[in-house]
Amino acid sequence: MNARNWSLSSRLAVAALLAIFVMCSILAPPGGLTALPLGAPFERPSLAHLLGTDDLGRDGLAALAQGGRTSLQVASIATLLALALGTFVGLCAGLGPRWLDETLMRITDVVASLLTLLIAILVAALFGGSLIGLALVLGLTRWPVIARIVRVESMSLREREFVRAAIALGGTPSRVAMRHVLPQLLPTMLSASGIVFGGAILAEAALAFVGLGDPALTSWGQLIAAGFTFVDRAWWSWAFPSAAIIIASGLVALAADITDATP
Amino acid sequence: MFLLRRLAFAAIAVWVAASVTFLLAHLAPGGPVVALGGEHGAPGQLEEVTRSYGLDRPLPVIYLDYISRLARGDLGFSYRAQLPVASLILERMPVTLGIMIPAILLAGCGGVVLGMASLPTTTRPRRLIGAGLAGLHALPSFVAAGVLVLVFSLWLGVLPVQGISDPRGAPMTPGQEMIAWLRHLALPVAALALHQITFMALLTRVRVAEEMTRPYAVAVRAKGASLRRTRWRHALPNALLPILTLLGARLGAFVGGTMVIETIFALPGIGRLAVTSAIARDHPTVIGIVVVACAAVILVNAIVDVLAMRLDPRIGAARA
Repeated sequence: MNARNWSLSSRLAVAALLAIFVMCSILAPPGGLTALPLGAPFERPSLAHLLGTDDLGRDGLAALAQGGRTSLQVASIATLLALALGTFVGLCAGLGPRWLDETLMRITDVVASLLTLLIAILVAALFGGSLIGLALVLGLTRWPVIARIVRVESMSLREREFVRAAIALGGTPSRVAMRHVLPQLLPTMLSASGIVFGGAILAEAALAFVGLGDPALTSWGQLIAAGFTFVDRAWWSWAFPSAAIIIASGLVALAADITDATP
Repeated sequence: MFLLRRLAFAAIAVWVAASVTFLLAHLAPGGPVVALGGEHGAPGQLEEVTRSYGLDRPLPVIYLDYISRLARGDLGFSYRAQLPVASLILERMPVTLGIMIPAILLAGCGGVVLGMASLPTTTRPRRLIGAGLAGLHALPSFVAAGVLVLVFSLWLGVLPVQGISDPRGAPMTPGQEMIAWLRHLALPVAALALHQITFMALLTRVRVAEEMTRPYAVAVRAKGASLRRTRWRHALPNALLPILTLLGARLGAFVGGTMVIETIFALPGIGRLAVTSAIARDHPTVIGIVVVACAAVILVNAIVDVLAMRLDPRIGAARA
């Protein structure tokens, strides 16, 4: 599917839901779970606690919003880093001489063969679980996705008249790349970064789920793991974080699909 | 030529993976002595590590020594388990492979069948299955595992919640043991395969749809073959090779997935060993697992690529 398959209303719906997620995480109470006020444990969802309370009586919605903020922060840093690296490598490979292309693509293949999640575990073990550490690992190992897409796109752009004209007019390689090719790549880059963003959300949650997340921050993965231990008496403390991560990663995938302009 | 290049690439990739772990261990607070001996090692242990690994020597010498130790299969020593890391990993291998291999087969075969089923006859059903697949794809394995446990273990009570065997059970015959093993692995395999099966299905759908537009497929249709026959007998075999290669490329996701799945289901596999070792700051074990897992994935991918070239010589010709 691509941009043409999506009606205006469904695009607006995706944008609105994403905006709600971002708003929630901006308005989330500062700090981690320990910063939340305690209350009556295992309260059903009600007007006072829209998503119920957990085993220590902390508000489910507040915890969920905090987790959303963590996801958003990790994914944003990782995506920006991957985008910068991937675009640079992809542009150099796609527009540069053949030997540069060969070399860069072999490097890309090697990086792509590293097991992100296991390296993230190693970093968590060596340096302690931290938001920045995880974001760096994700950004530094996931850029090949973007580099490959940018390379293919810029290779086809290179043959287009306006780029050839820019080169013929004496445009330096860096100017042609930055002023003529890069703007054309923006939709592709946006869509490709959606893949990295969604992957980062899932990786952060997976690491927190197994207990290797940032101990100072709330994470959806951590909420899901904790909630599942008393799922038989408080389904809400497991179900809502689970739903949140499905909806969030689904929305990111949809957004990536919508921005994908390739026919 | 292609074979040599592919193997050389695999060797370089393994070397990079080993070097990355080396670099990380040397960048870590406390450096490699703490990384190898563990934060909670007794003072004597740390000195022993320094001495036995020769960590008082210059960095390039240490690095070469590390690489040559790896090449000889020496992954270091786990002070937590008081065992060599290599034997720890080997001991856990059957459980991890017992989950991964069935999950890969299930995801591969199931994904192809599902993808074929979702090919269009009219537009609406395709969109429905497509949307369903996309929805399932957003379901992370740790949520899927929770749902499966809820349904099959807690509500229906037909499958065990976790573990690999029932410690309360009476001694069993080998046949019964086999059945118990299968019952314990059913949910982990399903949870691991579920996320990947959708990926394979979507991939199959795209690839086969693409093959169906090729002249040979049009010719087969014009000859009078049914749509079903054209798809299964003509388009699918041609689409299968890239699907196989991409399944190999997804292997890393399976490895990452087993880490989560083994933790949820409390299975004594390599993934759970990595997680518990990381939490216990048992660094040699984590480093060993990262190196072994990266090497295994790279090796399998190399084998898949070489096999693909054997089956379709055009691949080798195009790359060489």
